[in-house]
Amino acid sequence: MTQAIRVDSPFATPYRTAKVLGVSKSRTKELIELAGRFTDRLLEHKEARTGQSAVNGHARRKSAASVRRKSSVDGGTKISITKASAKRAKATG
Amino acid sequence: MAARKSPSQKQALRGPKRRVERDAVFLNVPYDQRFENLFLAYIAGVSAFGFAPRATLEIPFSQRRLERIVSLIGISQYSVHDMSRVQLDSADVYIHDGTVRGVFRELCNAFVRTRRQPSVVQMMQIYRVLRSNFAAILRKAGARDPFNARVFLDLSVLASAAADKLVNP
Repeated sequence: MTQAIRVDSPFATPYRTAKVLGVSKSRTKELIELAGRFTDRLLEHKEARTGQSAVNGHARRKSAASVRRKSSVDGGTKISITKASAKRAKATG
Repeated sequence: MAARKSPSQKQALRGPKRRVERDAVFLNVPYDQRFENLFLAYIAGVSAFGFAPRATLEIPFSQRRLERIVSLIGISQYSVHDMSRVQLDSADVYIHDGTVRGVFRELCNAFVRTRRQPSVVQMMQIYRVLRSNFAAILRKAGARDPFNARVFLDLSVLASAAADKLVNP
């Protein structure tokens, strides 16, 4: 029965790999750019397929105006900031 | 009465202490045209685990070659030996069925990372990055196959760069 090896060494960066193997800095930079071109395309394709990206993920977060905050356990003040309540206050005032 | 040796004396007898590179994996694979795909797969797979692949290809042919190969194995934390061309009766083997996917599957069985565990899909993506740039790298090195130092080094750094982007932190 084979047994897996648990690895907890740090993940080698391309710079680290290049240093270990003795690849020049300029060539390393060139290869990183080359890899970047392909990986970016792959990641874009993946995002398009799943219909989700890091940018959209942030946009989906609630805006400050619609955040409703409740006070802690002691039952103190209840702060509710919503666009609707602000409008209502404006109408009555 | 035998004198007890101090640690420094013991070390002097053993020879200079070698520094083990924790992220280095020594690849012992056949170097022939039929093995080209699997050779790229090993580079992609090992890089996906955040390792730096090492191979005897790095070492120039010289009188001290054997000595340097032994030292390369010594400084690598792990070794991957492809025994697909050897008849084995041993029980502890990972069988890749001669396919790229099989190599990735068995690497996943052999290594388990606590963080940034790569998937077979991610390994395949790194492999595709290598395949896409393979012809250009061969052309630049003036080589016909990947079994030479320049091509091996370029492929290893390329795979490492792709792994750094594709394997999620």
